[in-house]
Amino acid sequence: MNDDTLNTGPLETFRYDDEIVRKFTLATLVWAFVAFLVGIYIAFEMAFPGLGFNLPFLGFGRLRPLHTNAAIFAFAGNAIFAGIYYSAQRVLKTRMFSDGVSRFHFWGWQAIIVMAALTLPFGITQGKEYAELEWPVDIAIAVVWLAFGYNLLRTVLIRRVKHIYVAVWFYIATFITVAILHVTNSMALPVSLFKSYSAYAGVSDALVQWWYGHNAVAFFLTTPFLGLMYYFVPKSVNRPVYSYRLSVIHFWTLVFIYIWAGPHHLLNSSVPDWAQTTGMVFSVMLWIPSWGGMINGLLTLRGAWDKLRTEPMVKFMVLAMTFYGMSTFEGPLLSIKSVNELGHYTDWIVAHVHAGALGWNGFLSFGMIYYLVPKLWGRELYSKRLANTHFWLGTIGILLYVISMYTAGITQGLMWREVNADGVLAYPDFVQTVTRIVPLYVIRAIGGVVYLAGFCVMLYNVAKTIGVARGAPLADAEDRYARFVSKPILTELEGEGTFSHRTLEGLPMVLAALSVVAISIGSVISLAPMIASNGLVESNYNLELNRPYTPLELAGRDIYVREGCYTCHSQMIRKTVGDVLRFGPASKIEDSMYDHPFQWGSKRIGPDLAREGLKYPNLWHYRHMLNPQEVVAGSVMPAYSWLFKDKVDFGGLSRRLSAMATLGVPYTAEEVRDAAGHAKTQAAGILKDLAEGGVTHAKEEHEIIALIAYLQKLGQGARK
Amino acid sequence: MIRELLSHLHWSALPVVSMMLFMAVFLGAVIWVFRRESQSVYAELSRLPLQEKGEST
Repeated sequence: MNDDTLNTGPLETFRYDDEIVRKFTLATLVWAFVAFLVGIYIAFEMAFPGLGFNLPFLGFGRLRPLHTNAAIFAFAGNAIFAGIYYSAQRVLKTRMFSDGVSRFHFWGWQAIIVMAALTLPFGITQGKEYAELEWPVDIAIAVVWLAFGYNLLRTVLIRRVKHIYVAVWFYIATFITVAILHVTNSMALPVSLFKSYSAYAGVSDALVQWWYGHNAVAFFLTTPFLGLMYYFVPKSVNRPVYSYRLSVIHFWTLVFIYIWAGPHHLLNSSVPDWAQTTGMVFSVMLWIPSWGGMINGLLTLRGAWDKLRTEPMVKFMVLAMTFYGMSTFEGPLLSIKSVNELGHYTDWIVAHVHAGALGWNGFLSFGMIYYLVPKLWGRELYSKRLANTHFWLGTIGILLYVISMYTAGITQGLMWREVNADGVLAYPDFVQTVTRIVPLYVIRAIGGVVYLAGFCVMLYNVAKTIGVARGAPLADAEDRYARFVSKPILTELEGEGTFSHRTLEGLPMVLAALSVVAISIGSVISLAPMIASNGLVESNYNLELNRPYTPLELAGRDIYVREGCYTCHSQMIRKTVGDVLRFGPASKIEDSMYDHPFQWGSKRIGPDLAREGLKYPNLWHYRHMLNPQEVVAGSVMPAYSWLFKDKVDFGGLSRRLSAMATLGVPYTAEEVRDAAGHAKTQAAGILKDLAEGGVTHAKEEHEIIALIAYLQKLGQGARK
Repeated sequence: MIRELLSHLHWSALPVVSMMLFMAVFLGAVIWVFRRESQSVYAELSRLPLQEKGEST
């Protein structure tokens, strides 16, 4: 069956919309620079906390979400869209359905990124990892994402080929799943334009969040990039994919399995054991499709390995697939409970994430851009030599980064759990486990600088390539193909027995529906405990002590969320010997049952705070927030001087309590009505206590008072 | 009522049931793609990215 027999009518000449690809390509380069730069800045902040300069918007807790959002949604997002718009048109043999919708998608997405940059550093956040953006931005994301999906699906419907190439399957699955994830996880009750509370609480919120968080990695950083791999790797060596059959198995198994694995982010926690085991089992099974896909990609280069020496794009692609293989081996490994006990909350996870982001997503994007820029601007790449320089700088940067972080993570994990012959912790002070790894933080930051230097070489190379092309018309590529007509003709052409292929693999809506079924099965079952969680509150738990937050504590909690404290402190004492010896009784579901949103965190740059309440006097917290190093020598925590000047809006507390009550927190009408009065009374008590310690200039409306009230409340339910 | 029902269910067999479900999907996909008549279709499909007439601008 040759190319022409696939068509049923006269040849049509048409043009691809390459202008939209050029736009997304340039946006990728701009936002990548921003994401890398912010990443390096906060990496240095971890070793030198003074780099925050006592400015709220430069604090690690506020910039870290900016870095992750910029890297995932701005850099990787724009790269995905550039690749999808380029490849989908070409394998579907048609122009995008609507140029107008494409442009709406582009400008809408850039506007969302700008909104993120204008809100996150100023503490406007929902406090949920990788989903920090507040509700108006969430709505904008949903609208723009639906526009993208609509355009993609309509383009599939007007295609000129009968079958849909496997890359487009990955794109469709990406659109559908991300839409479901985003909408479900973003459910929140707005309090104001810039503040909302998650609709879920505690363990329910944790399960939904990590169902989202894990699958954001799966369906934003994996499936679309796999689609790009299945298009650009064959293009790079001018050979078809090694095994199309394997790619089909890869798709269905990946789509089916990935969605189940979210609970592996919550191992050894208070999440029910069966959910943890399910997450672990499915994570381990991910080895099958992931390695199948990687091997398929690498074997596509069979007989063309010589291009590894001559074509920079091939180098980037090969290393990207290698990092994909390593990351997808390591991920399931870390999902085994005993391994996770060592690695979770440490820099091992940071190394794992960055091996995937810098190696897999970064290098695949760079390889793709080195391919696209000459095509889109109609000129040879300015310098292959510079591209090779970029490759080696990037590789060295990644190695410096991940090796230092693997070392830091395993070192810290072992120190946390080590006990001496008497059965007590060998390193009882958490800060002992921090000072040991600070030098490795410096090496990590240097690795980031080297990676960025490589990227800057790429910027120069691309600028020179585009610059050389300046003045030349940037015409869209032209193609000729016959329009795909109808099902009966096709059935006749292919003979009996092949219509079933059409049914499954040629009809986009059937494919989309089956994808929805595949992800829905795992989603519904893995989220069932969320619905059941109310029945899991233990009868002997002291619910009187675990009362809802007072108005002042709630105000303090909002400050905790605003400052991004969860980026450095967990609130989940795991059921492990090391955790219990260090922080107290393991956390229970009840501990966070009123937490909208949950704040379990995923990293311990500082100690766990789940049982922080009453561990230290108010004065300790006051002095510690003012100057952490004065209280804990060697601490890498920044000072929060603005909390000693900025004021709590007592007048707005009733509205916040009312929202919480709407979400099911048992506040009385009187508590809601007189929230300000209750808050002032509690603040006065803390002020009196501080005054006895010599602090005379604090005021009841200062934010630090509310934060102290919140910290002293943490973990009270376990003190029966 | 649904919440109450779910909270009293025993979920410990779920990992095993889930794994069996996955194996069914996996084996189904393998059988599907290795059907004899699929070979020519997949061979043609795998060449789709390479069939571009108007690459240059």
